[in-house]
Amino acid sequence: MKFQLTVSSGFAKLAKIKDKDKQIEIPTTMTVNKSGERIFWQIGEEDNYFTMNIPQSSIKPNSSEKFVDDYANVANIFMHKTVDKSIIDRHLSATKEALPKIIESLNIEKVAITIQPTDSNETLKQVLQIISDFEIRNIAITNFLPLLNRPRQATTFLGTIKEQLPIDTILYLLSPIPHTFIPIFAYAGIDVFNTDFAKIAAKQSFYLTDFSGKQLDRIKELPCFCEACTSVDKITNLLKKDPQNSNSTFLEKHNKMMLAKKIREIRNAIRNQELRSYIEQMVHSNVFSGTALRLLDKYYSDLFISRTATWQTAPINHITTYSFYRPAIQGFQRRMLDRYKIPDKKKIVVIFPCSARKPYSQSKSHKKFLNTLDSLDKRKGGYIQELILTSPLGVIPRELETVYPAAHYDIPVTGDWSFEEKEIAVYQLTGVLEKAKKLKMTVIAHVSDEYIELCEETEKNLKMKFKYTSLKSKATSQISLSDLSKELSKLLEKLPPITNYSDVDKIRTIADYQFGLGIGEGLFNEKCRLRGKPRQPLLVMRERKQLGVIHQETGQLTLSIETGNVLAKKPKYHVIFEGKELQGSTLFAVGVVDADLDIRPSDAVVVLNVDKELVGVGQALVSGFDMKHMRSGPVVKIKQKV
Amino acid sequence: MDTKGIFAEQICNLREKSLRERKDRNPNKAIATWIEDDRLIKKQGKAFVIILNSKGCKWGLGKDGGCSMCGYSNETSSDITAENLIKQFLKGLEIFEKKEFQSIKIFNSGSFLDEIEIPIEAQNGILSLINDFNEVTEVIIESRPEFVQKSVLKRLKSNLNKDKELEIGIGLESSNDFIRINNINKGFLFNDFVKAVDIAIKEDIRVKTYLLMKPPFLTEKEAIDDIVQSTLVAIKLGSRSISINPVNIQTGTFVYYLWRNDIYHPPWFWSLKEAIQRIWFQINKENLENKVDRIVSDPSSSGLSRSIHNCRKCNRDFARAIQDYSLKQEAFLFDSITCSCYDLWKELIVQEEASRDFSLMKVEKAEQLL
Repeated sequence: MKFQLTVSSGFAKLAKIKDKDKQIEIPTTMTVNKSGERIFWQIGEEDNYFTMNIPQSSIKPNSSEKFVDDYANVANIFMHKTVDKSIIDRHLSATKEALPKIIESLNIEKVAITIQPTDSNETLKQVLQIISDFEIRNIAITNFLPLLNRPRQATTFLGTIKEQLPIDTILYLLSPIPHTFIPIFAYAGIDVFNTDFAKIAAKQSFYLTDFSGKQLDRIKELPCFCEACTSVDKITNLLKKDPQNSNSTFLEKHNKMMLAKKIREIRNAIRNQELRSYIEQMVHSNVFSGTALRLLDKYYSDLFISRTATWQTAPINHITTYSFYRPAIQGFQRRMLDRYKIPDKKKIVVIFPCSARKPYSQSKSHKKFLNTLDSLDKRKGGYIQELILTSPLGVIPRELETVYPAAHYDIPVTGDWSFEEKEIAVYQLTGVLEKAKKLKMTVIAHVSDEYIELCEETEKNLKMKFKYTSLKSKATSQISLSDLSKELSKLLEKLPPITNYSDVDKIRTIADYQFGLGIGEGLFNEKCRLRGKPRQPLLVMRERKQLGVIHQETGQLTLSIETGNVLAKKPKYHVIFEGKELQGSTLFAVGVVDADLDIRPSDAVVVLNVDKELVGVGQALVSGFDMKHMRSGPVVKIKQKV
Repeated sequence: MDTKGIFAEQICNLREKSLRERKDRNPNKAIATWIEDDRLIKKQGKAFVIILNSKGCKWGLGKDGGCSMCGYSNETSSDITAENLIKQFLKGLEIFEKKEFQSIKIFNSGSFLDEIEIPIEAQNGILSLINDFNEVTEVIIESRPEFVQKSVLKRLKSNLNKDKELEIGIGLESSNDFIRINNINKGFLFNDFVKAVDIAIKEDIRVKTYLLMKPPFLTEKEAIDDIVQSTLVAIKLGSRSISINPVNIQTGTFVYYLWRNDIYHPPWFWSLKEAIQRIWFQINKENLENKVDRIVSDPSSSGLSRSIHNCRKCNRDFARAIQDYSLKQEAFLFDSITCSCYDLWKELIVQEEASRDFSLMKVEKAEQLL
């Protein structure tokens, strides 16, 4: 049995599991199947599936069952709510003692264990310790339904599991949950769902709809065009024929389709890196999902961010308040404060409002701003730092405007900022401007209307005064632009000319954002320049030598052997592999000795051998944490070898 | 085999907690008395039922015990004398003096044969009082097997007129030792039951076996299988009466807390129906008809969420059908009940078997989740 991760997205992942001629892709479904008297689980869709035996009674720690299925569900951990901890502890030690003998003849990749919600997180942690000690990779969860009313318990339960077990652990939810809960639980890390809720609903004459469901006799028109629904001539006839029940074949077919559809939507969303957007749409089906999403954002953001790709292309449509706490957005905000500092040579900071069009410099308004700056003394342009104030990201320096998600988000703009939007913007702006205050830079707020309030708040926080150049009219108005120009000229007048390499600033700022504060200066000297044609990656050149490229779609800077060598000495974003020389173009988890915990999927990394010598540069497929803990599968795609 | 169940300490602690809140009761007044339609040994009739206020079950109050589903210890009082008990019995009879009944059933939430619980004078006294009722042909008492001893039985018989059949109800609950010890915490083995039955039969005393349907941590299907199996085993041992008791949730018990935390739910009527029909099928198949007089079930508070139930549409019909069946001993009586929840039950017992999720009642009402 082979586990191969395609992509992770927070707690969720897309992966393939192969065994001989069979292959399934998770997230997927599981259903109860019967062969004669024997009941077993069928994992996967249609013809391509694996089987798993049903869990045994939790009270008996030892069982002499013969395992005939693809997966051997070897124990049902006795950890039920209500039961005294002393009794549970006794059972746990019995299980621990019995396990080696039960699993000794089994392939560990096929071993599964059943667990359930418990009163104590300590018990859960003990159980997870046993699971990781034995390296069991398949976890079936049962008795989960009561948690559908308890989002806090549900997220803590799954969050604890996710924190303690490696990413190549597969979670199977044996309890049949409604289709409307599947998206949030997929997001919370369940990989395989019992989809027999379709049948259970059908037996209650329940017709499932995208976001809910209705008793069949309360539906006048079928809102669906699936095969089952189109086969129904008229719903009134259907109800007349059999008012009690047993429309259940039609209902079962339709309901099954509804659950299967959710699973496919989820797989597609993960594949296209749109899972978060999908979830934000889906949480509207019930209050539980909304609550659970907020709790996950609040308590597990670190782990979510670390498993979320830093560099993506999918647009972020920030429509509901849930979007404020997206891992991609939180990740950006944190990195901004950690890894961005206004360069020492700057004397003037200009704050601009954001624009709908991204990157900002492509917008009409920013073209006007840039023209105004261009018209100033060119020899003194190096003194000015542009910052763009925006919601929900906060603050973006001009140099990072092409970086994901700065160039990828959109948000409904009405002129009214919500409380959260204000809070985030002021917090970020205060953080970035602390250095401006320390080095006594002049801050010009070239903003109008609702932005003014944000700047005033920030002034209060920092106990410093900004200059306002657009108080009376719009920032793009002729008057304001000329006020800005006058103010800047006045300030620059007193300053001596300096050499300005805006390309170098941009490259270094991006490198800092990617690898850590101060790294850019070591990687790129003042001779570096950007070269490129529209819609093509920008080339980073040092004289005739190409040191990397900046991707247009993601804003990511790639590494070369030259820059990799510098980074390898830091060492930052390193992956150390067991061996001397790289074989092929992929590094696998089994070969990884160590990895930088800052690495997130899609980050550029340097690959070192055990002697800490650079052997190649590449792109991470999983987080640094996961590289260290995964047991198989590719972890780095090698782009260049030494 | 160890007779101490895995939940013993916890059950003991829970019972102590609920005993602290035990009500004070009038020692001269029985817990309850009533007249009911009843299945007599060979025909239908009426029974006088009395629940005595006693000192309580020795096992139920002991340090290893109490049973996981039993809350009867709360319906006892600590200082009850023989005199009190006889007064309780007399008073109870007084109320129904003018009514006719052919059977007397004496319950005391423990063991009638335990001298500490029911002193010898009370045992003898109560039985002697029954001799005054000419039309009474059956007397049923209850006891744990360890109190069923030859000398005790001889004494009881000597106090009761020959025209009255004495039957001892023994709570075997399940013929499976593991289930009885661990899931129920009953504290005795199947062999103890076998011995008690032997002694009783030798003394020409009848045995009624009480069986518990769906102890905690059994699935619905396992519960059905267990009841069928246990009934047949008991009949073959010589117990001519069987009483099937689906768990009902009594406040303060271990099962009560499991139920409150959604890891226990009482059985479905459909499961009881299936069990009873399977039992009779098996009896016919194995030609056991003349070894059994009655297989009854009288679930308390049936149809409520704390007890055996189906759905709102058919609970009432089913409660009536169970009663009807118990009186007439005709298993086909259930066949007249149809309800849309049958298909749901069938699906859910498969789901429960496959997942061992004891909280499936959460999906019984889809509209509450969607």
